[in-house]
Amino acid sequence: MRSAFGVALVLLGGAAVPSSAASPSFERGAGPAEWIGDLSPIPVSEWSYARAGHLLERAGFGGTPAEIGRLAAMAPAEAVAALVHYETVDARGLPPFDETGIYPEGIEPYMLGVREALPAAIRTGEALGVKVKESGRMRLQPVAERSYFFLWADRLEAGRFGHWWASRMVATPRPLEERMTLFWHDHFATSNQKLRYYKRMARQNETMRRYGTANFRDLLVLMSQDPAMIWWLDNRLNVKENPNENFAREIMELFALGVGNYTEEDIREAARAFTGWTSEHLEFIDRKENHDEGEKTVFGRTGNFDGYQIIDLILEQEAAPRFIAGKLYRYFSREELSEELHAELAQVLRDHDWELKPFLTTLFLSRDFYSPASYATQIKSPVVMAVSTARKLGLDAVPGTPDFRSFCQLQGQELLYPPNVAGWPGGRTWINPATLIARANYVGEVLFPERVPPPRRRGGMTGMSMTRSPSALSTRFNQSQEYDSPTASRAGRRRAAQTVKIDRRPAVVDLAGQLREAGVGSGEDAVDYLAVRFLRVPLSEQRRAAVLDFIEGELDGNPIDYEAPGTEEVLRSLLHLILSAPEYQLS
Amino acid sequence: MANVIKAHNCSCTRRDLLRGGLMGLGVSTALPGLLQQASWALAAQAEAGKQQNDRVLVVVELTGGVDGLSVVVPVENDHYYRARPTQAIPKSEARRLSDEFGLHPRTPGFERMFKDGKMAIVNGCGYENSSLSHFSSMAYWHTGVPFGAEPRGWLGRFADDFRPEAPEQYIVNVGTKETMAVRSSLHAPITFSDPEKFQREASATQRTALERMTENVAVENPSLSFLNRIDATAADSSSLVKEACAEYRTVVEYGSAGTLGNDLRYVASLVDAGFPTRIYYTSVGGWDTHGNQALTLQSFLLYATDAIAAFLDDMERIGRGDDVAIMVFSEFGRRVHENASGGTDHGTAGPMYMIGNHVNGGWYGSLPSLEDLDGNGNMKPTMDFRRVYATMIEEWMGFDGAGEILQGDFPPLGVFV
Repeated sequence: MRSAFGVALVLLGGAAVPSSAASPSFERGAGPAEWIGDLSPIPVSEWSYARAGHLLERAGFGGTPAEIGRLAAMAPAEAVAALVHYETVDARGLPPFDETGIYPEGIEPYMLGVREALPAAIRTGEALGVKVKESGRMRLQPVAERSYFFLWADRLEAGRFGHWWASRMVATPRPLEERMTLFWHDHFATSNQKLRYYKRMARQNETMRRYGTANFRDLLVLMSQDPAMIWWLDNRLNVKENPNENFAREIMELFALGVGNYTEEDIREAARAFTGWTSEHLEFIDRKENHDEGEKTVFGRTGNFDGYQIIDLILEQEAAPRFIAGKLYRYFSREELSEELHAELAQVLRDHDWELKPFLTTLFLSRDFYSPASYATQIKSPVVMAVSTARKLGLDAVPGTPDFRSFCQLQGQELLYPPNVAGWPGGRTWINPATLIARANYVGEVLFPERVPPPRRRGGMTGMSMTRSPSALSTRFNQSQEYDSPTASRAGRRRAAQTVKIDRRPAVVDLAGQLREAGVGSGEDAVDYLAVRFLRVPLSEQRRAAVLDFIEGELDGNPIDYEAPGTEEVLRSLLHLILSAPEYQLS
Repeated sequence: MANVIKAHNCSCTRRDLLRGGLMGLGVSTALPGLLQQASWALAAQAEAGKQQNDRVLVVVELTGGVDGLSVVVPVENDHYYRARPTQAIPKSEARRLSDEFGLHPRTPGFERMFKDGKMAIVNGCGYENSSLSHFSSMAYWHTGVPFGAEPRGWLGRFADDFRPEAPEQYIVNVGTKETMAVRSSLHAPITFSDPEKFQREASATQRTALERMTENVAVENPSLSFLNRIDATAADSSSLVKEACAEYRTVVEYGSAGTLGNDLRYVASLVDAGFPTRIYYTSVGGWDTHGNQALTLQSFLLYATDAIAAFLDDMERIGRGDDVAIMVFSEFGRRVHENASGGTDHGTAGPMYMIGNHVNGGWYGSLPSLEDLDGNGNMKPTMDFRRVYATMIEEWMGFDGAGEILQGDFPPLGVFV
């Protein structure tokens, strides 16, 4: 399944790739300082294994020496094209998300919460496919239990979806496709915390994947009409009698222009243009009867605008290509960019009428991308750290043990649950003493899954929390003794845990086999082999000496004996140490 | 090229070490093992009684925009009751504090502290041209520079200017993510949410190697220098934090895990263990009450205000009541007129609170008009929030450089006596 990427057939002429390029090493990593700010393409003569590794790390999630070697053997333009023009790469082998099927046919997603379901049950005698009890106390209890079941089961299913997606990032032969999906999830940050209906999130995820490297204008329209977005930013409540500004504000502030490039008046008027854009049953609907047909004035232009026209007006603003170019650059390359470079990048988007592939190609091929300011200066996000660890180990999924979702929650990057509409702040904010320790512990648990304590008895609901206690949501009904909320929540949670099965399969790693195959003989060979394979920069001398002493101590100064029992464990301990070094957090 | 900034295994300043040594202090038997070995624990004991140096600032962030009008209720204001036909706190239910104001019924802790003269309420706090976006407004409060692009937080800049050579543990941020407010150039705040997980898992031989791998050096790659620094802080602090939190015993009720109360319990643990920390930062969310406001505030206000009062009681109990002051804020107040979904939308001004034994309790600032509103139907702030920051910096922490830190002239309020 993994072997295919790199076969996008783009034939390019030019000088031959240096023959040394294909063998793993740190040599010729960061380019010279003169490359900073230079968007011209890196020449073939400057290509190297380390730079191909840098490309795969940023445009994807890193890879095995074989994967990097394949890119290193191509000319840079070919390597970039192989990543960017991935349509020709067959990805049909990737498994689709295997849904548990928690929602039966005919369930209305907006009826799922107790606040919606219980009044309906009182009115009609049933809700969520469950009947109210005919007599006695606690008549609403079955409906309440059902509602809580959906709440908890959706939380678990969203976690399974996140795990499936991360595993897709590991297994895909089209790494940039997933990397861009992750970028857009961060950019158009939508959280299931509010939606509580993972199916909308799953649909949004698929849209981002399908259109993630196409045309930004198309994507902006699709996101404006995306059911998850419509619920997330309340556009379903945006009707002509009662306009809601939430979406209009964020499309300007966070999705396309940035603060300072619009007025409060522009937001108010644009909101009116988006009235009537709503969704039902996971589909977009344009409800003309709710649309405000009056004149609106946005950015000094007046007309009976609709949503499409507002999007065009937004994209005509000088600030728009700057905003998107800057955001992409900061995500893929580095945080600081000069005024000149920013202007040049914006021009690339403008020249190609918002097509993203030419922009990404320019970025990934540029000398600037391989300059010391960009090379190995990024800090991996938690998801990228976990995914790239799996890829570099040669796995085909993110392991089920340790629990991927708990790790991401503690690191502050749970997929499908960005903290707010601004997305994850990223960069150095990922790192503090506690997250740094937890990263090293996570990698340790991937390598030694047997040391992970089994999940708590309550069906593996580790790290599960709700922002509001169920009792506070429903005091009104509770007082009538028609149902008991804590009991209903517990029962619903229990059933959810029985219904939604979490994949807890640990990684199967044969590290000794991999090292043996690579011809690693001594402890020192092992240190150097693993460092090149997993790190972007060499270990500091002091750290290298510390891990070298460790492995020599474990081996008692002897060469590695691949037949001896315990060798696998010793090598894993060595790898765990190397991956505990601060250097491992660099991308 | 690489130059050593600071030896990783010395988390104390030379001054503290000397003082601890010169005073020839014995080790308290109350301190757990690891903490006994920490030389700053000795220094902290030596400094006990020297108020100025022991003063601790605890910041509580109420994330999401608290409806100030529901907390400090203008019980005699007709505009308030007209603007809030369903969401006003009835005069009869408010906890009366003055002719003008009463507190929300579910804030007994605040009422007690106010009546004991330990709480200053500053009405009308905000800034001009207030942003209605959570993210922008919170960033302005965190940096203390509205509409600016300060990379460091106001507490980070304060720590940099006031104690450039302070020990590694000068700032503690209880939470899953480091807040912008504490971002600093010279300090690496200790950030944690669960002390049990704040520990490296490793075998004994691995641990020996890990100790040698901790190396706080500056290198050419700025991201690696940063990582080296955080790695060293982690190595220095993790066991100490874990032990302090696990060993702490108190009769005070703080509430369960994941709550503000629990976070303040960790703060109390570290204060009690003699950590050299002078800035603690905590936060609690859930205040964005666009809907269901009444029910949400019922539980959230009770938990938050009880937790703060419990913390102050606990400080009193361990004899550190005089060393601690708490500042409470939110990124904005809420719209004067309630909305159609049983809540209120983003607003501007709101009250801030300063709490502690040294606080000259009472009223500061004034409630903005509820009639003369801005174009969005929001109050016009009457008090720049940076005057409260300046009060904490100058009057409480005793550093007279607030003007430089806050990039402007913000006279302190005369709250601390």
